[in-house]
Amino acid sequence: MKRVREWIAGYLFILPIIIVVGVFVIYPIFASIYYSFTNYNPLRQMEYKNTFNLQDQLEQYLLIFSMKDLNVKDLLSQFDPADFIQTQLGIKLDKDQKAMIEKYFDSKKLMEDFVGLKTNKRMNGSQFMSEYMSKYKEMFSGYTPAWVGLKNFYQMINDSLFWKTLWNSIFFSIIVTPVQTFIALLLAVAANQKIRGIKFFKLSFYIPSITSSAAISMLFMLLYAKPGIINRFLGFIGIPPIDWLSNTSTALPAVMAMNIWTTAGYFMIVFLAGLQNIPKDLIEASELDGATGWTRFWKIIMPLVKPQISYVVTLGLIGTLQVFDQIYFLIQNQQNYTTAMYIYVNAFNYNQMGYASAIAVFFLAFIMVLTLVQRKVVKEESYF
Amino acid sequence: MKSRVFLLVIGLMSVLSIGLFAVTVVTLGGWVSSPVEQQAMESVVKAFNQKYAGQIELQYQPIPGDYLVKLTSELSAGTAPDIFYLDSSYAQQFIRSGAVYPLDYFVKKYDFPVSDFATSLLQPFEYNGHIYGFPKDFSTLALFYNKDIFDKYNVPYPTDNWTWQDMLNAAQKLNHPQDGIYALSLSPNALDRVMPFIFQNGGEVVNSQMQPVLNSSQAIQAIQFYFDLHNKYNVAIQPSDVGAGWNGDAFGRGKVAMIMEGPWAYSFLKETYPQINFGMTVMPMEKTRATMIYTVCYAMSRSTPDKDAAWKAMEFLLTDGMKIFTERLGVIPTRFSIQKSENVFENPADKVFVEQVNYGHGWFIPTPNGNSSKLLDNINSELYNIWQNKVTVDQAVNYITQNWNNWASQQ
Repeated sequence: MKRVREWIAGYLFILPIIIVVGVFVIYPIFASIYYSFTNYNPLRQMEYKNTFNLQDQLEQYLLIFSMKDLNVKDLLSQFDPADFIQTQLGIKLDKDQKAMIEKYFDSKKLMEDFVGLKTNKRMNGSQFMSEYMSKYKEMFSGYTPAWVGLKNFYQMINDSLFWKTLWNSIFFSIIVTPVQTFIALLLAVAANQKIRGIKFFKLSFYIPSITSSAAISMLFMLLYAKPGIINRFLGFIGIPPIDWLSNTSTALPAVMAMNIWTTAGYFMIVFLAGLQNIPKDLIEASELDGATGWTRFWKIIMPLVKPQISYVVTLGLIGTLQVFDQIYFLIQNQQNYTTAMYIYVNAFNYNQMGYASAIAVFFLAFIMVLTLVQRKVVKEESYF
Repeated sequence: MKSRVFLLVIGLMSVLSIGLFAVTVVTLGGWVSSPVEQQAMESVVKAFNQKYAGQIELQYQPIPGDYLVKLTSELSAGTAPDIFYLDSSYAQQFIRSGAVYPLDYFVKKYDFPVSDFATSLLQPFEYNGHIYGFPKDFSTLALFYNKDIFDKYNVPYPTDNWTWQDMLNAAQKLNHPQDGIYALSLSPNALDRVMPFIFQNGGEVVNSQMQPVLNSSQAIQAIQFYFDLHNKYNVAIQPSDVGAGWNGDAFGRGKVAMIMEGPWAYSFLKETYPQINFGMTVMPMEKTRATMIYTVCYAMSRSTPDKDAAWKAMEFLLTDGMKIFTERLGVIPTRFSIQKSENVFENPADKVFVEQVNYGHGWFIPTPNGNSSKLLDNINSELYNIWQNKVTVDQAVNYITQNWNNWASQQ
């Protein structure tokens, strides 16, 4: 009994986070797995939910300006239920639905209600259909994206731009992750020195990672501009100006450099914590044995921060594969999109939510496999 | 004590008055291209609310940021404004999804003069014989030239009868990179800027079966000429080469002698770079004359509760609103009657844009299912490869025509 009560209390305590994670993480993941097998178009989400006054809709469809002297027979000859539902109510019908409407839609009842002034009420598409379909009402209860099986995945395999974006993501990741890890470690070692004004340096290394990426992107847009400062410096050594962000060969490396600059400071903090855990006597002992700074770095510091390296590489890998904001702000040409950006474009610019979900699901699996492999390769230390 | 009773009475009265004179609220949304435009729209809304005081209240809710994305998500959530802007290039995508309400009934009921609009302006907003939006204003492309640069190098100003060769000859005399002056600034990754040249050369982008015909010799010649201006003759730059965001900006900085832009560039230059001494003329011609027509319509959302009230607001926007916009923003009205009453043919700022409407082509690419965003992104990206000398025009055109149906047909 006590156990059960403890159990309940425990879950009550973590309930808020379960709800938040469930609604904003778990549910979307499963929803996008489901949508990846459909042709979900978000613009059709409201088609059965929009409310309307039925009489108004019929008047507008039949072009009736006065409700006097109407007779059911004349109206029935002008009334095409499938066209009314599609054009006037804005509900798209597939073949099966059209066939069902032809058989079971009660146009006569609708026209009688209309002439009898019984249609002057608000309703939505699904209520309308359940009232005037004599059978198979459930086919019209709401917008359900059509099940297309593996079509989205076939489309993905044959989409050369998708493979290009995947390569861009991988390229981004295999360059940025090691470089940012190494620079972060160097920064941490530097920041761990006991010299005057070290707080200032720590702060300036860390500031890029807490600055909004929109602001940083604006800054780098100016730096990378053709008449910008980077090209001016290159001009001193005789290199002709390069249009970094417009040129499709240099755009991605330019963003990569910026990404390294922004994230290195963040991971520096992780390494700094690791470095401060290294016992002082180890360092002092090595000094007595006559080890130089460089040997000390490779032989003592590196092995001791291995758990942090593993952690930073894992986070770096996931972070770089998912990079979106900086790409969104700075990349102009779709040839330089990363997969995350390509998912966004398909979902929100092309309204191909199903296809975007398929790529997202594939990409999720890809990152998962990659992380697992990486964890196998870099074994975690027991005390991490 | 007394004052409290007084307040209570006032409070009760205001509650009652709201209940008694319930006004229908109609919302209006659109992007804002400049603060001046927002002010103009606000005064249109004010005028409407005065006219319909106590009956309909129009509320203006400008949509900042990525308009297309915002509109898509608002329409899918059923929270979109009752009346919203829809650009001709992607209108069909929304119309065919069922999110936009047809307007035929109101046209009949209120005798709205459809013939007051040029058919080429209505075409992007029609589907299956129904009309889904009426254009609020339109723009065409014209040739802007910097008089000071032309004078400096003793080149005569462009004329109405300029051919491609005339433009190229002048450009070669005007181009002085060592002084930081370039002859032309072009958009290297925008099909709509290459299209006028294709039409001028007697070519087309798609035929009546919606199949690509970019591989015709006329089209290829035109694309070749456009990109040769940069790749072969070295007389054209892209805006970012001089650190500008777009052609108008590059022109305003006095670094380029010629650009091809619309009336938005005119008002931009007048406001931002008043010192620039420039002239405007029609687009150059080759076998025939051609330019692009850009239009934006007012469309009604399917989820609008009171569509009749929304129509009244839309009609007002298309009459009095259009007049106010023409007077305050110098945009070109879509209605013949307003073009006439506002004397746009005499206005030097509008003249060159209006007179090209007869041979202009509406900016949208018809596809079987109405979706053209993906198609356009792919074409524009490939065009930029030509600009960067990564592919030849033939290669690019072949690649585009081969993949066309694949890009256009999805979903």
